[in-house]
Amino acid sequence: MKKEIIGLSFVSMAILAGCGSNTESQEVETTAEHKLIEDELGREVEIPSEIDQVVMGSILPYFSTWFVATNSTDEIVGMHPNSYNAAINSILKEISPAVADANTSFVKNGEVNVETLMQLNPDVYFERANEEMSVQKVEETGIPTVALDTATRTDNPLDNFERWVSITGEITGTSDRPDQIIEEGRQAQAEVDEGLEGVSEEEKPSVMLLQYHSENEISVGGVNHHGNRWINATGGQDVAEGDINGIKEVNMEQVYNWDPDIIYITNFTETQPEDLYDNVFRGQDWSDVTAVREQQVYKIPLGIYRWMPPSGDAPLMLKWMAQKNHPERFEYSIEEEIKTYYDKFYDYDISDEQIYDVLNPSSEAAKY
Amino acid sequence: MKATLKGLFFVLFPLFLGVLSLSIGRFEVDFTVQVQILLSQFMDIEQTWTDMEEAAVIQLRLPRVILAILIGGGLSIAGAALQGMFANPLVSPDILGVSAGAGFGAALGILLFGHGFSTQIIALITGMLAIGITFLVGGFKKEMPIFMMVLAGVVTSALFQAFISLIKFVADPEEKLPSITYWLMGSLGTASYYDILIGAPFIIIGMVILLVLRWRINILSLSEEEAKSLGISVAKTRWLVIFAATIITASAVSIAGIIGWVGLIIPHIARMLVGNNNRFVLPVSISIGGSYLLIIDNLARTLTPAEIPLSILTAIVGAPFFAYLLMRTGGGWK
Amino acid sequence: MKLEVNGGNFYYGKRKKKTEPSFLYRNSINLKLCEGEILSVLGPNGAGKTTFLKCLIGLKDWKQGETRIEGKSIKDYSSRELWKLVGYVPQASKMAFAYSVLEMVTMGRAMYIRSYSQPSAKDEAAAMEALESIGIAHLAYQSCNSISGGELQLALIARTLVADPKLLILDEPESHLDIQKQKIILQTIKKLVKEQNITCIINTHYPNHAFYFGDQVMMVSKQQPVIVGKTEEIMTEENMEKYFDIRVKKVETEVEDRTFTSMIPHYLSEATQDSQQFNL
Repeated sequence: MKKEIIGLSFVSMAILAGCGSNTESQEVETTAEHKLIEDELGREVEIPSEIDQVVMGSILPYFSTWFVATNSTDEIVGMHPNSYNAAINSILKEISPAVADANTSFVKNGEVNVETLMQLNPDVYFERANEEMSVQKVEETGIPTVALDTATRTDNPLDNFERWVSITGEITGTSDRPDQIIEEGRQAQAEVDEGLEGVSEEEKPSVMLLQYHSENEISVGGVNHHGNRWINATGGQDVAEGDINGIKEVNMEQVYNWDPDIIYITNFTETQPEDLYDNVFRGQDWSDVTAVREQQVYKIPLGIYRWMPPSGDAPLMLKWMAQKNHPERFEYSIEEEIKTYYDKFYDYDISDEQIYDVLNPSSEAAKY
Repeated sequence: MKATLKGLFFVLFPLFLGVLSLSIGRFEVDFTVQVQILLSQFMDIEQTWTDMEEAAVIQLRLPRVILAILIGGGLSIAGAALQGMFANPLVSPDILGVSAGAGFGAALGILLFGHGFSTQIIALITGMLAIGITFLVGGFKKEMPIFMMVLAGVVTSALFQAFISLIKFVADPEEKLPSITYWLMGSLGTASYYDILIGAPFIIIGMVILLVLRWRINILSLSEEEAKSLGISVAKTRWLVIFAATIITASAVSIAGIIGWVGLIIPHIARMLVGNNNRFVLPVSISIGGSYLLIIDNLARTLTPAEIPLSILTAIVGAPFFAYLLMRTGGGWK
Repeated sequence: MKLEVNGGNFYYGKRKKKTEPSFLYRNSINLKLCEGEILSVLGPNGAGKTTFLKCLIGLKDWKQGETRIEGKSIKDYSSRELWKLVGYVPQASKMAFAYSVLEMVTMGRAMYIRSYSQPSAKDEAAAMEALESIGIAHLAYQSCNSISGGELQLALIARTLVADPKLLILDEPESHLDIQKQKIILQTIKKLVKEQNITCIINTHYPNHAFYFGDQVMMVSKQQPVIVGKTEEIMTEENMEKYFDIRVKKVETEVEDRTFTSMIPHYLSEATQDSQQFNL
């Protein structure tokens, strides 16, 4: 815990430093061939100055952050099979086909095989901070290992996004692009905040985030879950706010009790809004729930990664959800926003069809 | 006369509790409204309640209440039959490895086919396999010492628990794993009429077999030769009892996951109330077990917004009770 | 009822292909018992007395020979028919879940109750009657584990009586009992057999009980051939020494105008004179 706080404070310092376009503090530590990076476990990691090859472990969304921060997937020589499946089934494969060349063989059944990893010979290996065993194991082989924390202790839904983008900038030694992206996120939030100005609590729709759903499971996100931060930042009231911590299974009656105005369904589950409208689940009668009755059930989009976790498309998620929560207050065309963002950060001219796919992800996407 | 009254009480108590449970839940439905909704299913009553209230009572709570009574009663009569037959107070479907075996089959079934009839059948097969292994390890004799039978059951359970872990290990960590993990801890959270349709026949068939044989189970509890000399076909009857107990357990496990302790504890309570004669112990076990799991499930669905897994509650209530039994009787069960 | 054993013998385990099986008894067993007759089976521990009883009534299978009841092999009886004729009283032991005496005795009606039904009031009445006939009706509602060993043994005898058996098999019914309880058990058995004209086979450790029952005696030992015959012929001092390795004195005593035979081991007299010598 202490380590994480130290890590966090360092990162926020780095962000502050980054904002001032002043990277002197890093330059002091940088030699010709190596530099020191402090990761999100608060550990000092010595990495090569030139990064040509990186591998990403169970920090599943990070490849998309890497891409948005560097506009390249050429360096990604290895990634977790789940990330890989998501990547090659997303629009990212069209934007940056090199991602398909990444190797996944170093993870078998969720476990990192260190020897296979060594064969990939990465300059840096990224791992989730709470996978301390993996971090330690890989570290011992001499591969520089950067731990990234998926948790966040602020209400800011872009917090992870900003931290990861800026640490990526530090690693690759570029700060212009990361700064620009972070700024984009902050602008998006500012725009949303402005739009929401004067919204009273009563005007906020009650929102439920359906994380996992099937005939046998109704699991929702509550506090300390990304969904909760997105909802709060976009003028919604999370129905699970006082009731659920993290992701918990609830019963249908609890859903009745909450009776949300809007339901968001993640891409971690195959269920589609139409399934709820058509009431196809045995033992779950959704027809009387307000969100279903008024057809206010939305599948969360899937761009270069699922929008639910802190992906490279994070600023777009803010705009999308704010518009769904308060359509009367946000009159932009989300399609245009996506087009602009993809053009600006990915240098990619996204077609209308592709935009449609981003906004209407298939059930199949849950499987990657 | 007194016996008839007692019998009537054991029949009516779970039913009464079931009706009462229909008005308990996270979503508030008034008791009188609930009764009206229930009656409106059979007669013409003007609807003064919302559709949501009706859905909560009829679509969500009623199947859940029915399944809780069926599964609680089923696991209890299965435990009572096995304890009675082996004249062994420590035997239950969990301890003989049936639960773990059926749990493995059901987990495999869910992974391959989802919840449904095929999963029921796979759970049944692996449950039978598990009890077969227990007897193979223990030496297949009725006179198997208590500790040998319990140890053999522990070995079998461990084996199938490992298989369950293996399934969890290969299951997709984002999508299937949370579902399997949660389900294994026992839940009626998504109980539906479909579950009743596919599960209830197995449980009811098992119950009927055991109820029919309940007096014969007294005889099976004697030594093998003594039982034979009373003119009953010992092997056939014994396998029938094991089969019935196994289909009940397997079916319960594939609907609601592994719910521990019920099959072990309830028969002891039943014996405290009506003595050791299995003619009475078995039907009373259904009544007490059904009521018990119903109360536990009511707690599971109402205590917190998130569902509490049933096996957590049954163990929290069951383990101390069993400890108390052990202390009180010194393990003697005289 | 007539009971015959023709050439019966037994061995444990499976016959190995080449080696000759080692039979439990030195010769094959032949015997014939008529209605109202009692056969006492005597022999040291481990000689195969209980096994003999079990083979006799088909609880174990003879490896050679057969048992015939009324001229018909027991293999040709259905299980239900057979156990209506045969009552088996095992040695009494405590149980994990004790039933009441009445419940225990009612179990003796099993062969008259269909597999899918429960005992009726009639069955319970029969059980009560059996308890009365044996004089322990007052114990009907007590737990089998709370009554004495002798009472439990009597209850087990009552359990066979409810089925109205023609052949009664008892495995050491009087062992572990004090002499007063032994008296009750023995008198009860003898009375039943003679009154109801039952054929009875009883394992016992007490030579004097064989004299009490009269009729026939079978003697078994590991080192000696099995012998069966009239009590007077078999119960000799020589046989006792051969089969039990103990010297006894056969004495005839007159009590209240009746003569009865008994056996007194020699060592009992020696013990009083010279307790240092362990001469058996």
